[in-house]
Amino acid sequence: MMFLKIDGIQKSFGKEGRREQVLKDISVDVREGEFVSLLGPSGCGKSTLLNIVAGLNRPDSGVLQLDGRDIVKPGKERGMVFQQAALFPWLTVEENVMFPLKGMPKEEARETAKKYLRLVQLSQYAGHHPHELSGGMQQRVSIARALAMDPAVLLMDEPFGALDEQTRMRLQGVLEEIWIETKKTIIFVTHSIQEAVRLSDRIIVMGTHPGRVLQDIEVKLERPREGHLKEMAAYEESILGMLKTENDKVEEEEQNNAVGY
Amino acid sequence: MRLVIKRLVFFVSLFLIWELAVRLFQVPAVLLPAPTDVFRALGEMIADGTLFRDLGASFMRLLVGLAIALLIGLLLGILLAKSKTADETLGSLILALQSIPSIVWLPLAIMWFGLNEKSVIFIIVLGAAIVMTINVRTGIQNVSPIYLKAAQTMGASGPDLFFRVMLPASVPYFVTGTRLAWAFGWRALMAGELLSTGPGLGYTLKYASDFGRMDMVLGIMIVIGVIGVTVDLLLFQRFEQQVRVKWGLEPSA
Repeated sequence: MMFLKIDGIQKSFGKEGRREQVLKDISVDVREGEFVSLLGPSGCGKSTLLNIVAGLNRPDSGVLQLDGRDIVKPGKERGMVFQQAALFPWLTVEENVMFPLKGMPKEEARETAKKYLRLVQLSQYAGHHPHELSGGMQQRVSIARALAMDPAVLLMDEPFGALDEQTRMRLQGVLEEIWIETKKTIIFVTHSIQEAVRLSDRIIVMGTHPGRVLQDIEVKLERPREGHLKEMAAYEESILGMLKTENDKVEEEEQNNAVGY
Repeated sequence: MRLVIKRLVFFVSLFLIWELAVRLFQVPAVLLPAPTDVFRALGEMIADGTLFRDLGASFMRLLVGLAIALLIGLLLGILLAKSKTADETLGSLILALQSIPSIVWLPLAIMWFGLNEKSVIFIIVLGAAIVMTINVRTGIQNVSPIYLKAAQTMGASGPDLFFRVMLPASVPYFVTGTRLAWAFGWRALMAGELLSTGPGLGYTLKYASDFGRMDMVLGIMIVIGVIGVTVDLLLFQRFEQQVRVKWGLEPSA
């Protein structure tokens, strides 16, 4: 039995009076402890798929199971990190990380928060408020907050998409270290090929109109990957080539549509 | 610092021109007293304690009225934000009431409560509760969806989500509501006191006017203005600014 089973997911949205299919027959199986990226252009439904796994959105049909149990609503066993850090500004950094730990004795929750703040190297900012932190630091707190409740799966929706290139690179390193240390199952949505190759065990390449799985690529590179620039570049190139074919198809479709008008 | 100097120069020259004009054209004191007379009258009121007694009485009423108004506003605002039906029915009534200055309720209030403090407090509550209600409602309805999503993925729902996320996220709106409630309440208080009974700043103003003491009238007007501006600018706007920066609604200076 698969750890996270995504089988035959269909999803369409009503748009200007007609239905538009965003996800067509998506099937992905994720093993425990695997780092899987959903890679694709905007509009391929990768974020929608992640929201469905988070339970924030319901699929029209299909099977969705984590560890044998159906996913019907959001739950603590699936932590999520968004593109915006979404920290609560009225709480300190530490209180933010303690937010999902409701029900745990205060002292234990505080210790847990400290532990995860150490993991993202922000212990010294525990007492600060989010507005005093840079975007990259806020996103690290947000990762700590999602990890603090010890979820079975960590869902990440373009978590570094709003950051500058340097910060982005650094946080990729931080995340890789966290993954090596915690061996969390991670599903990571990105439109950056570089990012997907740098971080993932497997890359699910998605295409658009309707959103569907194009290819399932395994990345067999040693970690940490910082030093394997050449091998990473080879992977990037092959994915790029494949996406190019897909892009040509999209362009052709668009042109055909334009003629239709 | 330059701002302070500019303002100082402006106000000193304003008083100088006023003083000169009154003396030059020999304006009778019942029409427009000279600023020196106004400040002398103010000094007298401070010396014999009337000013502080009046201020105390007025502020007592205002605080009682504001406390009631804020509580009502908070509860009503939450109701309107949470219930669509309430918003569509009661909400429209509250918007309509907003366009009626609360002081016009005074004749009715006097019939209901008598010519006393209760009537004035009623006027304050009416004026202040409505702006508070509207701000609380807007605040709760405008909570950023990303906060709600994030909280849901961390297991929050129902009352937990409301008290731990929606209410604290709306605090900037509550602060704005409180500031506006104060501003409306302060104006309603003066109007109410002017038309009803004392002791109080508005009442003393009417008393002075009955005796033709325009120096006292102007003196009290200056006190009303100074207090209004001080509380609004130094207290509320500063606090509001701090809250907005902390809540990430404005970049820190």
